[in-house]
Amino acid sequence: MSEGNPFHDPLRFERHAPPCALVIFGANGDLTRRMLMPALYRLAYDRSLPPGFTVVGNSRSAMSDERFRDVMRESVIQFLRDTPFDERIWRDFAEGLYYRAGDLRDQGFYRELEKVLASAENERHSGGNVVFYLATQPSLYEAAAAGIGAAGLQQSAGWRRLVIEKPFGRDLDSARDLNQKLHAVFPEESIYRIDHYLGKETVQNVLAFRFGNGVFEPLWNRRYVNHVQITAAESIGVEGRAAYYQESGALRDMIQNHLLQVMATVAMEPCAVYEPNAVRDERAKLLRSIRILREDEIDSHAVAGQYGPADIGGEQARGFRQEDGANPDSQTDTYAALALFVENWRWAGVPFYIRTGKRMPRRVTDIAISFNTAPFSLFGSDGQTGLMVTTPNLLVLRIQPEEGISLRFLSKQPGGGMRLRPVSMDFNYGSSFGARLPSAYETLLLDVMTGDATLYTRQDMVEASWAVVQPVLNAWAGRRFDFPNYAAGTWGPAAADEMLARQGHAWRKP
Amino acid sequence: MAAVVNSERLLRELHGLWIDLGREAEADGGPGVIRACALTLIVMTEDAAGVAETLAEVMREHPCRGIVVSVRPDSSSVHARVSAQCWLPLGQKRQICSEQIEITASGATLGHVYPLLNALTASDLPVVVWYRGARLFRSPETRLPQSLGSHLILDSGQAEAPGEFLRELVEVCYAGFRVGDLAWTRLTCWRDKIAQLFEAHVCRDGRSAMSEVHVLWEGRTGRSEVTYMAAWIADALGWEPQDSRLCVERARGAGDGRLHGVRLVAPGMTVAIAREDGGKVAVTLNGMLHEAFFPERSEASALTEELSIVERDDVYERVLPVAARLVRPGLE
Repeated sequence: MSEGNPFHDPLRFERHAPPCALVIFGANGDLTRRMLMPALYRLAYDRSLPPGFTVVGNSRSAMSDERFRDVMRESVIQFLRDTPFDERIWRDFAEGLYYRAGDLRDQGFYRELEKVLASAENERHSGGNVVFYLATQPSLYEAAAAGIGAAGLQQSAGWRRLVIEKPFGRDLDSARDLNQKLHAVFPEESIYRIDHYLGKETVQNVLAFRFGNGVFEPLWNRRYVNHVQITAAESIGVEGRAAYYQESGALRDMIQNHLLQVMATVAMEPCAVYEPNAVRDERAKLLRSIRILREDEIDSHAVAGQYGPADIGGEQARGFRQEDGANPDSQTDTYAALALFVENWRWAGVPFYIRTGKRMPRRVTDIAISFNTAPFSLFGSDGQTGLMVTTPNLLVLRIQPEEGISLRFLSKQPGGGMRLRPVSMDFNYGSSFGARLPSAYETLLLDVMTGDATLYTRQDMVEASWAVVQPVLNAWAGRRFDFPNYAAGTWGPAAADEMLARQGHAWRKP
Repeated sequence: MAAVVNSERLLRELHGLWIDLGREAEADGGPGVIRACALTLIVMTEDAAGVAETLAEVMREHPCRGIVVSVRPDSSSVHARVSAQCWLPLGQKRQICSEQIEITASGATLGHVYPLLNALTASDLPVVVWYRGARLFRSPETRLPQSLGSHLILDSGQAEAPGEFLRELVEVCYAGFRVGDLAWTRLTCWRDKIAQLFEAHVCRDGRSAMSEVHVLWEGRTGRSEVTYMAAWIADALGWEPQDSRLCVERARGAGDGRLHGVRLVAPGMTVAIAREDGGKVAVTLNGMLHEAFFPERSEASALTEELSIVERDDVYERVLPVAARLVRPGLE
């Protein structure tokens, strides 16, 4: 809402989307059904959408508007979380849902789309503003952008924005190529690359925690921080999507995008103002500061893993190679770990360990900042000194599943003498307590409609993060791994433990 | 219950309560409980039982040390007890618990209570005083000293003479208190929708040429929320409260005085919001109708919103004196 609106009450009013239309390419796919449409419904429920909000869905399947509305209604009912489904709100929202089948390579489709958008502008007062959301296969991104451009749909009296989902390319060269093709149609400021981890309330809270308090930032550097561990573990396997997963692997699927963005959030410098490009400038700067691994460092700083079969609690879990659609000889990494270093004055010499994997003991994403120990032990015995070394102060930012922040420190044991023991204090169970947290897609959809790109990835951030993983991808492409090298239900391959042991460190068990 | 109440004893009992909760959780083999506190909420009420449910709901978003001062004319001495309110968030393993101290006193013995309250507020956290009942705020016997807490929450919708109450609130604000009125809070959805409609391109041009505004209520006499709505619109448009373009009138014959709807008219443009059943409102923008959902504003939901406002509410403090000056037939 604009500051010039005399009715605006910034203390009490939530954000609202301006008049606009949303075109979803790939509207019949999983992403739309599971994430986008439930998020849009929730925004409608919260009164965050403008009257006359229009969605135009597209896929290749033929479907009428009515059928599309029915399908989306069923999806919302099935995938909605923490929100009652209200028939009257749905009916009102669904009046703005339209569907046009078409091939993204067929220019005729874009002429039809143009008519629908013109109708939305005239009859539903969309203001000529349109978000084009590519919820389709990455192989169609270029065709979609080219089609929009050829039809002149990227320009209007209002604004036009393009949203694309990861993966942004398969490697550095293809990412640059994709960016070039997109820029032929849309300027960078109109391109919104989604990394839904940045939309998570808990990741946003890292910035609030760091820069909203005076006590932690003075410690947030190489003088006090010993190392940082970032973990994104899943307990499930590929869940029938082995054929798709084989094309990417853990390094591409999680580290190149989500976890490097999380690392940037943890390690970036404070920006002068909390504005989209100021924040993204600092994230990009951090990503560019990560030292690129040399070829001779790959083996000591990067570990690939693939889960094998195991008995987990009486249930026989299959190995990756036994999953449906998986190549029995697959070299896909279902686990990846990196030891990275940031070359700047704040972080020089501090290892950032990042790991991600499928079929690990539990689902958890967290950031653990391990601090340097006290310079010497005041309290005498070797045992106490050893305790101080093995249990340094640890600040853990839990992203999921149970958001929270905890601090571990040593405290005196009750009783005679001065014997210490570690205690862990949870001092913030999220910013929410009982409030409902918006889903990442609710936040991000509202952001793109209001033109807030803070949580979206920029071209330079994408290319910088590809530059970090590219040497590892190159080395692994020519490698034949001895897979599987960790059993399902364990924390990953022994090589990952050895990688940290060489630095005198050990992986936490989150 | 104790015949003599002192703060040290109450704090010891609270401490013991947490130890017991921890032990119970340990015995169950569970992960324990979280003791959460973001503020002290002092509640002055004549109906402690009625407030318990509200507090249980409010504490989910605003875990606090709740100090409920139950004013009962039949109480000849001061009694106090401590308890904890716990709940398990969906999908979580640990209960989140807030603590509560309930003090029962009569008007005559309240003088013994005030020093207790000073000692019982949680350290280093904000203190909010909620007068659940206009009478308790207006009576010198039950009005707490400003030193205890200068952030007050009241509800002019419950006052017998709301117009007079609003004028009193103006004086309270001038005296340096920070005031929140739940009657104003209950209007947030309405105000938000009006602001949103104005943001739409088609409304923007009509704003400066607004020819009339209608604020309608249901029933014989309009409540203070109706006065607030009219005052807010007048203030936003730069109109005086008695401007003849501002029409405040009855919509229906029966009803409890709550806001029914708002209609804003300019040449070639009409924006209207009207209450329907079941929490829905009909929103009409130049003939295009759609429905919106305004959740029912229970006492708990209004209080939850009000506690979320941690700084001074400039909009409310600007509108309050306008509302105090707005005099219309049918509004008390």
